[in-house]
Amino acid sequence: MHILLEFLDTTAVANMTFGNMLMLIIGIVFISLAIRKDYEPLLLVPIGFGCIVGNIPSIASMAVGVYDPGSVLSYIYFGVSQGIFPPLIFLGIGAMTDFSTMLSSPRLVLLGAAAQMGIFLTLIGALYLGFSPSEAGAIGIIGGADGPTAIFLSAKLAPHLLGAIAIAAYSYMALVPVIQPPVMKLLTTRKERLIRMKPPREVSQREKIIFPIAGFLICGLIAPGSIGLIGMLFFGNLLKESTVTERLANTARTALIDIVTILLGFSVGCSTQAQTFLTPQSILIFGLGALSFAVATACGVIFAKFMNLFSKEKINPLVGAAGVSAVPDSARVVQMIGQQEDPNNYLLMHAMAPNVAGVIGSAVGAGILWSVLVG
Amino acid sequence: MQGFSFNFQNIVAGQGFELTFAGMTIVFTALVLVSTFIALLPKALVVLNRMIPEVHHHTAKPKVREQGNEAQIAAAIGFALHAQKQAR
Repeated sequence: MHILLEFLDTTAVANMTFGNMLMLIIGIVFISLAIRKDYEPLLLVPIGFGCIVGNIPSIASMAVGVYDPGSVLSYIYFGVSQGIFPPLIFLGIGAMTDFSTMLSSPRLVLLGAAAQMGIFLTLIGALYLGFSPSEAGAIGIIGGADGPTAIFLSAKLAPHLLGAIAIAAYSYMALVPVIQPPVMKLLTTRKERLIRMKPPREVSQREKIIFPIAGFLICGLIAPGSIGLIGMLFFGNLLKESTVTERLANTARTALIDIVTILLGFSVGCSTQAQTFLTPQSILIFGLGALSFAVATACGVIFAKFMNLFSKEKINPLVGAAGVSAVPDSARVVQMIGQQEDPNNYLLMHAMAPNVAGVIGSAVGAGILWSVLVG
Repeated sequence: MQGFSFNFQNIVAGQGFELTFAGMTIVFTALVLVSTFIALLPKALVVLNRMIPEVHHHTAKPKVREQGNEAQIAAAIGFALHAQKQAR
């Protein structure tokens, strides 16, 4: 009988806390949002299920959780904690990304830089709230609207906040269609939203091949901290554009990125154990995350309006909102808002230029923060 | 983080403004250089293409044939065959 009682003491039911139950509900909400609302399903389903798995309490002598050395989950989480998965995801993103629109509209690249103001203003906000500079840097990168970059930097600067930062970054990326439109409408007039832009020119294959090499050299030489991310992004793009490595590019943008996304999403979800995740800091991180997306959007839109003061060919300021690197969601939002005013105005291709520039900008921003704040 | 301490002094002590200024300057510098490079690339390629003409690699995708009037010809042949069959 006492064996049965001892066993009952070890069950998850006996060790379940209110925090664990809350996290189980959050995990189910994530899965529901992904399935019912189609919010970033490729990420929210693995993260949501990981959240459920990570919040089943186990006894101390059993190594099963991500933080227990030797457990299976800890080995999977190693790819997150050591920053291995994010560069591999960037490889796949590079192999998927077509830089043509950016190559045909170089001035729109600047919008991708302006939107990175969200990173640094969030950093200031986090410092104000009492976070240490390293923690503030890791939180600030949420403003880059780039999940892998956020995970990469928080693994390096503030590993104890990784779960909260990753969940905040991916949650807000899923909520781009909710957060961005009010900011875009607030900062633009109807006349501005109706601006039509010249169609992008055709880009030669040679330009597409040369760009990833030159782009990497420029960014890598300026911010060496970003070479892990930027290097893989441009390497993936070179595989795609070189025309001689189609098999490798195909693997990078399909099987490889899918495997890494599964492992990353699931293990990040598992890391959200109530004991480490449900803290007042997490609430502040979520608040700052929402603010950072709004600020990044606003900075992109305002900078587009600023550029219009000096440009003969006007930029539709909505395109500035795509400077945040949530690819391609924010570009889709720009298209949607533009078409609400003029159904025949196609902004998607123009918005993709600052969108991919934003990916480069946020990776450079992460490299800078890592170089300055590490140690 | 050691408890909450909302204070402007935290920003100054953490060199928040210096980090922001330096960070944005570097991000802008990198992307301005990328933008300048992209703007100059077509001009540089005019010269480069003269020196090293483009070659089509054996593994490159085949060029898409220009769309001719094959569809109209096929329709005309179809119509002619149909008309012949009706006449019999």
